[in-house]
Amino acid sequence: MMSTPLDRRALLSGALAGAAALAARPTLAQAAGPAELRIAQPWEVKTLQLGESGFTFTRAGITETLVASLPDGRIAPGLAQSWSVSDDGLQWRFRLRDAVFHDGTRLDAATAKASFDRLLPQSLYLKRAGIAAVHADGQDLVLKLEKPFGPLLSYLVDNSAALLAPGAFDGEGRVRAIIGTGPFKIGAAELPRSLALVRHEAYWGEKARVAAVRYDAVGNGDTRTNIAVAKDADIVFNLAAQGVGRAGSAGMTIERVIIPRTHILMLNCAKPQFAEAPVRRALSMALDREGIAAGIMRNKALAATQYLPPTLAEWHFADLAPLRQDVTAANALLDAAGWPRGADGIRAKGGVRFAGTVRTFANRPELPVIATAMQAQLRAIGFDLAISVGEAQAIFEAQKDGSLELGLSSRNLVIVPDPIGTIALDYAADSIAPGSTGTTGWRHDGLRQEVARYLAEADDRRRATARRAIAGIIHEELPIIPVTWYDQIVAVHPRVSGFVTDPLEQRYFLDRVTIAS
Amino acid sequence: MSAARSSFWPGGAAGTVLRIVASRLVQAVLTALVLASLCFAFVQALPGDAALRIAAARSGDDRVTAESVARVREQEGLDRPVLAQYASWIGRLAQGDLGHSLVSRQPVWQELAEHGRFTLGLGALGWLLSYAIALPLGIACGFRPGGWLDRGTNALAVALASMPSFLVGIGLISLFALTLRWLPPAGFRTGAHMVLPALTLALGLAAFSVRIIRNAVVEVRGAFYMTFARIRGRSAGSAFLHHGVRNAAIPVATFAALQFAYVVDGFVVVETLFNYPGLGDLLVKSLLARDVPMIMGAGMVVGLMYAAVNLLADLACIGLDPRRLAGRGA
Amino acid sequence: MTLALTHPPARIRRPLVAPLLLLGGLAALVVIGPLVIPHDPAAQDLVRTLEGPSAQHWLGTDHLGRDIAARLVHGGVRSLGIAVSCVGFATGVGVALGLVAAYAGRVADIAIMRLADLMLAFPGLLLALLISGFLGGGVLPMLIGIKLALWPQFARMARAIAIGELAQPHVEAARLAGFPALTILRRHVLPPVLRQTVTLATLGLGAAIMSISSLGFLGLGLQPPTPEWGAMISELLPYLAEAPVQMAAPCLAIFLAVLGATLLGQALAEPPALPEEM
Repeated sequence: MMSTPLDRRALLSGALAGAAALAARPTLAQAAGPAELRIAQPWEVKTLQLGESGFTFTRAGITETLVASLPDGRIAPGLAQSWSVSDDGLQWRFRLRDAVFHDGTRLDAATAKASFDRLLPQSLYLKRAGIAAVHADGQDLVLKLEKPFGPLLSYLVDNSAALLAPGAFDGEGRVRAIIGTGPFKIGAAELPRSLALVRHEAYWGEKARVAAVRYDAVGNGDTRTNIAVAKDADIVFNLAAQGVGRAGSAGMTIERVIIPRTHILMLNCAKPQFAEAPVRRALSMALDREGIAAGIMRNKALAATQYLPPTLAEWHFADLAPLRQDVTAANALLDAAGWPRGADGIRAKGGVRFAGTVRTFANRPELPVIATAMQAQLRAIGFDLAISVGEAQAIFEAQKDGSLELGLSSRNLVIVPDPIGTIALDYAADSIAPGSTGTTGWRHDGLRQEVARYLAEADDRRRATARRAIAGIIHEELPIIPVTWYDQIVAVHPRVSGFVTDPLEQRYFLDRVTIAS
Repeated sequence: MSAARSSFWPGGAAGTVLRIVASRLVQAVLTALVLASLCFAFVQALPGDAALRIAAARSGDDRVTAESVARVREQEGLDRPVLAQYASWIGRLAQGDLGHSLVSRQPVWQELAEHGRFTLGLGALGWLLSYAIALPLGIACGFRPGGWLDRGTNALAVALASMPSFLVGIGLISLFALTLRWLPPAGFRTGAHMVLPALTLALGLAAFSVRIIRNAVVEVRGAFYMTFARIRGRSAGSAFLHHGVRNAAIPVATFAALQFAYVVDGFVVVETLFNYPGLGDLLVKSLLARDVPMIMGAGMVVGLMYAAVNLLADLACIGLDPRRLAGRGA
Repeated sequence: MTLALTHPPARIRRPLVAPLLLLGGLAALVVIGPLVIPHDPAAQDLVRTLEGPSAQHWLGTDHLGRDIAARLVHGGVRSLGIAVSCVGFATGVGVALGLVAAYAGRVADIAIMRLADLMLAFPGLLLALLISGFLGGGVLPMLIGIKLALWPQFARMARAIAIGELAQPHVEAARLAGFPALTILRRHVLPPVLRQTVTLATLGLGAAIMSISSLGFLGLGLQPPTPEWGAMISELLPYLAEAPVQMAAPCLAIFLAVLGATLLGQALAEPPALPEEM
């Protein structure tokens, strides 16, 4: 009838062909082979810089440090097979192993020094150890310190200063490829989502048992649960607690281990509501930690009785009176402190309402839920809690400009295997570090002295005394209220054997894993 | 538009169509630029320190240090005045350079190409699948409005439209990946990985389009020209084929293009659920990280894609109803 | 004559019965429910989380031990309010601007449609996210975002249909005869436009509530102080396998509301059709 200027049929068939071509395009990587170990874990690899993604490369067994931490927290030889320290504690000498980088370069003192020279200035924690100079001396690497630093070995585990081959750096000193010494090397990288690892055949130690690993980042917790239930991965890290039952009945083995991470309620001690220690104690006593641990975290053992969990045996003290819910005692404390209840049931003192807004964020999905639970619990002692869910960084910004009232966050206690790294930053530093979730408006000179003493001390007995003193002050003063500890939940495929969980999350020990055919 | 240009193009309908395409192209580029600029303005207006968020996106919240924030601020020139930053982006764009991502440090075009490829394939598949479902169903319903098929389809469409797409996706995953174990639950490496996300998108799209198609069919079947044809002795089916299809197709084609907005939103959700590396995912992550060049680049691409889809829809409408040219050609 | 006899007046209104019953029932639940259900929608019980339906908790409890039935009826006003205000705004503004664009053409057409394009090309979820970024979290910023994202769809749809209608000979004749624009639009253009957009509007009711769920799913959700159906869905998502009834409850509520609105829209907008020959 009517003639049309366009041939619709041609248009349609063109569109169809185009879509089919797109759909059928060769994919980025080949489908998983049978001998490949498939890992699903939540963290994307955004960049190749060790200061940013170093933890991934060490966990996956690609990079190594001079010394390594064992799952029980002890420090073991890594790329250094032995070490010694001078009597004044200023000079540390490391005897290097006969190791080969992934590109075939040999590790010697000169390449190690070159790596340190590039990475030390941008390292996250090691630079706080006060390393004045790095020397190559034969097969020995010598570190000279500005002043004695007791926990140096723990700081050397810092994966942002792992050893890389000279060829790993570009002209400007930036990392252009990860060429490490670990049991696996990177075969192909599809940043930020996936790394294809292959076995490093010239590894100095026992060679990895699997020839290839696919290391995928799966950010969404529900998706990781689905992958575990479908058994579409061999090891799924950070499984959501709600997925445990389903993954278990699908035949995955579930491993749960309490890791050194604490969900904390931050208080701005400069605000009149939170200035006095008895009032902070009352707030702490209002919290139903067991209810939160059992109901929300799905593990009753996670109720935090003190700041540092039992996983850190040296830092966990059985003689500290456990933090427990006691609403009656909390109310009595507040009455005694002069905070009478108003008509609406909320307390007030000198025109200041016993109230505040807690800032939290949803990257850790349990945090807003915990905040909602605390809202009801704090009301019972006459505290009016409002909730604001936003970006994690907003807490730091409010800390800095003094507007923070409360914050609900999560703190990694072992940024280095010794929690002193975290405590020094969070409780004893003059400025607030952006990545820390530490005290706000609180200063305790006694604690600072103990921290300084511990850092300079090499003697084990005296260090233990300082540890107890530090833990005691934190426990009494409660500038931060611990809420729950945290457990790493891993779902492991039945065909996998030899899997080890590392509570410190420094390494995933994938090289020890075997797959049954 | 101008006399000079109209003499340049071949005359007649084809010329008019070409002119529409040309003017639409100009408009598309302008839309994309305005969209990118709006993105820039929006992100600049957000409260909080951009350098801090970029540093946090690079390393994770736990590992940000004052030094890494300062380094981002200095190296990426975030301490410059806002207008200077905008001007430098426009300046680079004029040379065909979209800049680099502030998080991954990769060129923006490269990231866009990698993610866009996945999104385009998934989107096209989902869209085609939705019409493969909706067209036959909608037409059948339109021919028997009020019949059992119509009522059933209506209830199903309403059910799908009142369920968030992630629930539809989870339902499909539960059935096909976890129970029947026919398909993988997440991923992007093989064709099998595309089936469930595409179906999730398609069901969400079809829930709307099946009703639009059905109504368009009902509408033209009640139109006076159809009555006229029927009076002339044509059967209902033959009258529809000869007179109705074109008229019914116009709202359908318009709506098909409108669904672009739904598709982009759908991508964000579907890509998260299926761990699929597409543009929606990229856009949300870039926004949270305040990765301005990435957001602007993605904004431009989305704007251009939108313009292309609409141009196709308009051309289809003109093809279906050349009277529409009359209004434009003048 | 026979036609009129087989369709007595009482039967013509029959299509209205089902939707009015549905919507009336929902409204009654939302209004009377809070008086009947003895639970506080915010009262928690961490010992009795994710319990199935029982005599005490008719629809079970959520992950914080809150009563689902109470949250459902208390959340209804908010959810339905969000849906109606978003879709009402989008339909009103969208159709009006679409008609103006189609009728006036030229500059007005270009200006309105480019604006619509700009908003359409911008993913709605991101818009909601950005706006809540400036205005702080909360329901109001999200509503603004959803509204801004919705109206262009209606504008484009309305314009496309209106252009077709305006090109009809009898409409052109009316235009040439000098009838006022408003009269022409109201008599000849608006009815078919509304018939087509009402589907979009009724289905869009669900979409508006869904936007809140989707933001929650992406981890960008806000914690509304009071219960809301969309937020209930995303909150319960991690517990889907353990609490299917609790999850089904808000989904069903949204489904019934959207179904009622759709049937109502269809009953009101169904064009006169020729009787089918059997």
